[in-house]
Amino acid sequence: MSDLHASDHAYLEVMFADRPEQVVPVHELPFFVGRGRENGNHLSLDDLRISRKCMAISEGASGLLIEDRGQRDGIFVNGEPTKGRPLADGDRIRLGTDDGCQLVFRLNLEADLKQEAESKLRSLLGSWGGGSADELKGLRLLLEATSLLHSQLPLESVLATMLDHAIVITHADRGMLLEPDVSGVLQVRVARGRDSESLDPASMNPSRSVLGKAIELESAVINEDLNLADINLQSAQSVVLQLLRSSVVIPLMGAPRGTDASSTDIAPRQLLGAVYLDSKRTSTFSALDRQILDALGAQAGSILDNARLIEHERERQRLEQELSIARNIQQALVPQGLQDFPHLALTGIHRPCHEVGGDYFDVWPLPDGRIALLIADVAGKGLGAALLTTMLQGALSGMTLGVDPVKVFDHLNRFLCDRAAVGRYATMFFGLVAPDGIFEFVRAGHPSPLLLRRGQVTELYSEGSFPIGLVAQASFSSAQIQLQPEDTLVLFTDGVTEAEGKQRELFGTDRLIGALGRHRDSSPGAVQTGILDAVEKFTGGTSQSDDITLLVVRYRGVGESAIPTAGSPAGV
Amino acid sequence: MTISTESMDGEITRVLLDGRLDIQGAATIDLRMNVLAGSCKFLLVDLCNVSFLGSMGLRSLVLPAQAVHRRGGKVALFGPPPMVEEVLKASNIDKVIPIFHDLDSAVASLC
Repeated sequence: MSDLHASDHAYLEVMFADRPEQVVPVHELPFFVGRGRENGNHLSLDDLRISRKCMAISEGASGLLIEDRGQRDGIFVNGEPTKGRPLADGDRIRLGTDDGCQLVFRLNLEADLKQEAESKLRSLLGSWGGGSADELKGLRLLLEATSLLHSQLPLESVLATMLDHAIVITHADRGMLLEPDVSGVLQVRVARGRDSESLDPASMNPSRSVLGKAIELESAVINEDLNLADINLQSAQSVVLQLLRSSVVIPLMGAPRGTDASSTDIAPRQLLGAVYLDSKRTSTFSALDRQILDALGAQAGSILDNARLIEHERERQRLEQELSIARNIQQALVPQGLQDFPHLALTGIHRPCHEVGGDYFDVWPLPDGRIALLIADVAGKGLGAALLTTMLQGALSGMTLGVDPVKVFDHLNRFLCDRAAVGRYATMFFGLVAPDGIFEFVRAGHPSPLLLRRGQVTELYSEGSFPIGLVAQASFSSAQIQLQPEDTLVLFTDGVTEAEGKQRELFGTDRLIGALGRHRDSSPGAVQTGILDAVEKFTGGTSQSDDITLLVVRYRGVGESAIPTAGSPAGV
Repeated sequence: MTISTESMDGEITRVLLDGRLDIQGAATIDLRMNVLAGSCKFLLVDLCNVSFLGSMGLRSLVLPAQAVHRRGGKVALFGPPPMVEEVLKASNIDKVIPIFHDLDSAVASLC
């Protein structure tokens, strides 16, 4: 193997303590590793310990080299720090100082595995006779062994090996494996000639008429020559065009898989693909044992079937990983460890029912000493809702710069209504608590926060208001009340009041008011816990069906530490 | 969630909804509601048998109603149970689509 092709057989095994192991081929040189897809990274490791530009593998005079591209705390090969050095098979690459972030460099992994497979096969096959019974036995063992090994080998090479052996056993000139494309048309995926050479799948042009017949019959079709074939001449054009004398087509049918366990219907067997073998010599296949072809078809089918399951599983894992990134971002955007302010004590919780949620809350101080409180609930759940919450949060953070919240609400409403294809809207409640207890708020279809004052619970408002992004002509306005020292405000989303009991009855505002009334003198933390406990007791362990978000705020009064004097608060 | 329609006098189409108008319910009726919104002049949406109205369900009522309004038609909501009416009112939807509890007034509002 020339150095130029060294990369064909170089691999990186990703051995991170907290993620599944992964084997990644070094398919291009230089090969970049780092966090994120930017910077042209071929292997992207979504881990904050990894720098965006971490390392590269490139071509050296006598093999592959590793180079540090700026990994924080450096790159270590077998424990030695390095800026750049040649790599050998089995080298352990540590990224930074954390032992949890390691890669293992592998050379010729595929070739090794192939060799290993071959030797296992040889020992399995033992004496290889000439008779068809021996061939059949050999073939079965071969294919069983291949399907056992294929999880370690790249799929293409398993399929190629399978075709090579099918060619040997049937004495064909060439073999191909066809798989249906998205529109269901069989396309050549792998093509091999005698002596294990790879052929270009695009130039294969197998006979569609013979393929069609085999698929229709759901069994192997041997087509010795045109005179013998049970195919009409008109439809056999491609056979003539290619001057091929004989061919064998083995359809590969997947095992029937019921989608519903209770269903008694037998699902039709799914066509996974076909093996197509042909030869320019006549009578090549006439002596073939049908059993051999059936065995070949069954085993090749199971290899393809398994391969597809593995692909689905990988896709699922990838999606899960993306979702967990989204969740991390979302959790990072929610205020962490809420800070108390001189005139306010507060606590909050956001408990999404899916990986990512459509609720959020935020608390931030304005330059004039007032504290902004926001709670929002985007219609729907999951990633779509989470994307919109992130956008809302960005837009609303602009209020820190002194923009009138009513104008922000009007603007957001128009923005979302103009983009109806977004298909989401939100209810929100925004409030500003001044040190002197003046509480101004703007509401947008959100359930009224509850006010706990000396053991009495009241709603701030009972009339409705338009949500943001549902009705284009909606307008918003602000209102204000005077808070008294030790007043407690509870902001919540409908995940709390619409929590369902075992009979699907709703928790409701009355139960929430009841739960709150018991907490006359409790700290905000105790109030929050009390509400969550009441909801949990009510639902009795039924799974949470909506995001639950709570924000509990206690106004402490003006006190000595309050800076601005009571009086005219700046207009919102 | 099921959706069915019946024609009434005066070019009114009565849309009968039955079940929970949650995320799944909304997905079930969205297409039918949009088709109705594009073809009917007067829509009477019968909510008597809607046991739950979630935020996505609310959207499935409001967007088609707005489409009918834009085409010069009218929409009325009829007979929402208390929980459903509460959700409609909390979102001010009663200010854009009138709610009725007796059929005659609902029909009268459309004529």
